[in-house]
Amino acid sequence: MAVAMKRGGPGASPGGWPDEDRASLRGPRGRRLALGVLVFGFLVTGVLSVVARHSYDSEEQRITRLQSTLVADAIGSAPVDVERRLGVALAAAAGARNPAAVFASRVASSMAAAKGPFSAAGLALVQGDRARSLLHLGSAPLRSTSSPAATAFYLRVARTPGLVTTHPTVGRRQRLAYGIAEATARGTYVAYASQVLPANRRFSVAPSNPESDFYLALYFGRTATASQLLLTNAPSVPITGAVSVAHVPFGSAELTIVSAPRVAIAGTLPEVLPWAILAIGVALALLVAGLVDRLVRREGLAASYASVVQELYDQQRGVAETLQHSLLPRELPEVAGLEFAARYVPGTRGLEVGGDWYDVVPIGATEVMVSVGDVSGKGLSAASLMATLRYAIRARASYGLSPAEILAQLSTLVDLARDGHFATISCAALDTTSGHAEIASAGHLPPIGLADGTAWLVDVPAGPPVGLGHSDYEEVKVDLAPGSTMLFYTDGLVERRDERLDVSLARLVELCQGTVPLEERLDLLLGELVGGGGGDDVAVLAVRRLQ
Amino acid sequence: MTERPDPVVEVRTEGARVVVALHGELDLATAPELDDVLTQHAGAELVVDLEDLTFLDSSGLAVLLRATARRTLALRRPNQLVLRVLETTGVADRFEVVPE
Repeated sequence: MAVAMKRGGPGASPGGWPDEDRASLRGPRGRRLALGVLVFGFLVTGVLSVVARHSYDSEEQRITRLQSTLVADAIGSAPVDVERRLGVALAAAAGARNPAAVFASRVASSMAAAKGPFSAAGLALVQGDRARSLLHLGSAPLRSTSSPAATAFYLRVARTPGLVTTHPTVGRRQRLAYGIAEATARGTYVAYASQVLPANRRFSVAPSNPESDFYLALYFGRTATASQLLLTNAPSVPITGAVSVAHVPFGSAELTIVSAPRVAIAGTLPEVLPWAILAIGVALALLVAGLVDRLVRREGLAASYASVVQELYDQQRGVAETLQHSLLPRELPEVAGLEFAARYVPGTRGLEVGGDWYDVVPIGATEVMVSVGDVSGKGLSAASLMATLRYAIRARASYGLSPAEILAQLSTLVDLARDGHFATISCAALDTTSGHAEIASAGHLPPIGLADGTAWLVDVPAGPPVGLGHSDYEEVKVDLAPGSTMLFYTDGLVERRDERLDVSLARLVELCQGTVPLEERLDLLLGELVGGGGGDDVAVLAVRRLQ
Repeated sequence: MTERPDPVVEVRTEGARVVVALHGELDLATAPELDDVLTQHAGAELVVDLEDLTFLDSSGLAVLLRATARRTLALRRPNQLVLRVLETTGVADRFEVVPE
């Protein structure tokens, strides 16, 4: 007779992750991730460097512009001083009886000899289109004071209000000249002064001066024309770099100031910063990309380890399940006058195999030994102990031992203190011709009797489970009438949490009421009871005496 | 799986005695915890309080029975649920049952 066996899903893989994910962490995709991180790192670094560079440049320009404005302001105040010096002397001279003498005495303090600004100074009188030099002091004029060029200058000054500035050049010599006029009844007096520009038009600035950080070039006029260069501290003109240009009024003319930072004005750091960012950024990007690559590899490795562990686990689980199923009868024996039906359902709780079993052993021609048992706990040790007990029962039954004697002898095979397991066993010897049965129980749940549509618990006094050293089990004698059935089962069939065993057993008895074919009966019981209970393994064996 | 009150095993001392109170379900999942506690206090006078135990399966029973191999184990206030399991499995006389 074939026995139906229900097994858990063969492909169940607890705690595993999909193969898809695992594969995605390795190979080209992982490498692409690292490459992506690298490219992203480079991009960010590049942008940061450009921004830093730009901000440095604009900061530099801002400071340069500020500096040239300051220089322009300082230079712009120079004509005011010149105008004051000349004006005071001129005013005194114009009203005097001897203008030249008065002018000479008044302007003396402004002359270079007295550490004043003027290298030369003079006085002229303009009457109509004619001009006449009255006095010339200091360094010799570039041209004669009576030359047409000088006369043109006097006339121009006389006709121009305010300070006239000019930039006379003769050959390589050049000066900066100022003129101012005051009209009187005798004519218009013109006072003039000039400054000699330094050789090569070079000047130097003390390092302590803030302007020492800049290259400056002063041009006469509105343009930075080389011939009009007055002064510069730059080694060569025109000045290049972050150039800033400012114009400043200079008497009747204008000066053009060109400046550029000589060194990194905002300090060395801002200049170095973009490069530092670039270097650090590239290093970081490489580092992170390397780390990502390593992590990806490691994750891939972990995934493959996990799959190996999973495989081993599945193998062990498979081995245990195979072992358990191989230990259960593949087919129950054909015994004249009896019908058998059995079910085994692995537990849903935990993944390890259990130690439940059922067995039918024919003894001689007219007797069978039926056993249903449950080794406590789970795992390979429980399953192998189950095998030990089942074969021990077979052997002892074939020697002709009674159920109580068999249970007593099994105590030598199991020791709870040593093995960590005990076993509850229901053992029944059944005479196939008379229907006489002897039943003994080692802590096992009582079998159920079914006859004429009625079910009841068979009262079998339970001794302690096997494994506690007990060697004295009681037997009850029961008569199995033709057509009636005896149902053996393990506690997984009835166990319910938060429910007394009496209630659970009563439910089972209730479900056994009525007349139903044996196989159908077991399907019905399992359908009703398995899955809603404790999730433990379930073994059920039904024996029916044929009519 | 059913939610269990936490902790399942609670240990306290009452004078010279060590009282191990069990709450909720003692089964395959929680039995090892009790086993550890009982082994740890193997030298002491042990009382296992079962008043709040709501489920006892063979794995849990195995742990209790193992402890009896070392010494007498007192079970305090076992409820009907527990008593029925002890009777059905024929091990009631293995323990010293104390009402309080």
